[in-house]
Amino acid sequence: MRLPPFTYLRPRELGEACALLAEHGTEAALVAGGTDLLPKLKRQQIVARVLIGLQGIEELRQTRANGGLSIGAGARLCELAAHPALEGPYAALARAAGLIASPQIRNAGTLGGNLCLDTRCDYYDHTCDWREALGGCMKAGADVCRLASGGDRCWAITTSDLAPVALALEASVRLVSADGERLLPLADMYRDDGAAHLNKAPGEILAELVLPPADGLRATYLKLRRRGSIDFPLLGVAAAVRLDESGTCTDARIVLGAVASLPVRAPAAEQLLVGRAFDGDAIAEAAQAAAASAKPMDNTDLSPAYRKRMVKVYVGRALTELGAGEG
Amino acid sequence: APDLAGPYKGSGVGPSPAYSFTAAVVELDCDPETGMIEVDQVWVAHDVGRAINPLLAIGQTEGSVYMALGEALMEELTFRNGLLESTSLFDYKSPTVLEMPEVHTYLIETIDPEGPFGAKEAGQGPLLPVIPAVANALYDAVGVRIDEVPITPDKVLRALDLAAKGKLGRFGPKVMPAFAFRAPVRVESPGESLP
Repeated sequence: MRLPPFTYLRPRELGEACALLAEHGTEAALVAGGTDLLPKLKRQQIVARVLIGLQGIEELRQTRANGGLSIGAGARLCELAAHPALEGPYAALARAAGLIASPQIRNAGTLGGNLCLDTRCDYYDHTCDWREALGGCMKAGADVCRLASGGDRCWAITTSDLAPVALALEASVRLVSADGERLLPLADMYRDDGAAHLNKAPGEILAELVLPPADGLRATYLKLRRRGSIDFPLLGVAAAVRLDESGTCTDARIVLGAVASLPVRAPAAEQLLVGRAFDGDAIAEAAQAAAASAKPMDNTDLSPAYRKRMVKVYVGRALTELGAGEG
Repeated sequence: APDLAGPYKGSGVGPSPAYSFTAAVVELDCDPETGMIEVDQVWVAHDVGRAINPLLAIGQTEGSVYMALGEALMEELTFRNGLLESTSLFDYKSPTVLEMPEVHTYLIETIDPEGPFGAKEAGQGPLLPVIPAVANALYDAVGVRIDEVPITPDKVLRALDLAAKGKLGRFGPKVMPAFAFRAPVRVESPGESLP
């Protein structure tokens, strides 16, 4: 499979990139590391005659500490994994970054790319010929979902490892376009639709991840996958809690990745933790309840029943890890 | 050694003047909550007849161990709607360097009279015992048997669930498929059919 021909544009400033994006519209795609875009171009899952490269834009590679932490979306995953500013609860973001794909991919892939990472499905992520043999699918523009043929929506799964952690840390993102910019809570960026999973407008560029002050939060991330490298998450568990001096949990956020078209909270589990001692019993109850928030579909590796069962195991382990950690 | 010439010449695949033999021991960890298996060490002794290039023969043996682990733990052709799902090396899971255990190789030289300089094979033969060794090590670790490959985490959990309910802790096919072998076809060699 070959890359189709394209024009490559290399803006030096964010404003220039936004202008190019506005000019070329749906003909253009943004590329930073390109680790997901290029395979998708080869398989004709994405069609773009113009690629707008973001690697040359210095503004996207900056980090600012301002009470909290703001990280430019151009930060490479390998840099995030070893980032000196990602300590305390923010270290969960570094850990998640270090678990993404493989070292080579992390050398190229970026924060922005992973936060916006396309959804995946076993009926979609194949060559053009394979998809056509099946008659196409909803994510590819047809009107049938091959996983749930009676349905009216796409069930492709979110596969970002950073999104669940960023959500657990209550992050926002700065989106920039030719028309201006806005600060959006990250939770509002994801949609429950495998074929249109972002609330980011086509002309918008995700410029920065904004993390609020850490404030006594403890956070961690666990990833379920078959092999020790390369694979996308079959389940991602991001957990963040705040404990007071007596060890009572005052705040809890549990975010599950790879069980739906968007990262999902586990509100029943969170409520079982808040207002009581953060001990083994609380953790066990929360882990049990978290599995109810997960309805994995049969469109990736390992059975949905197994992945749902692992929610309880992984949430339990993540919360136990937080309980053993320092305040 | 079996006769090389005879009435069934040309109708066999695999007969050889000499056969190699391999023994393997696998040490692994299994997490009973997740069913995930981590292979820690493999000891493999392979009867190569004579190791003409020992470094290569060891490399072949270690490579065979790698192939066996892949087959035992994760490699599988899966299908969706009649189409092959595992269409790339991404979907068809082979172990990475991180899954590869320490391998201790012993080359056993029996100097086989039928082999060139006494040598036999060191191609994929060492693969064969590693797969059942993995299955047996799993049984030793958590007390369940998986009767098919790949031995995936969900199969291990299903077997463990059965055992926890007091049933036989086993997962996989229950019977060999019913299959009757046809009578061998006798093919004349070219020399035999000349008028």
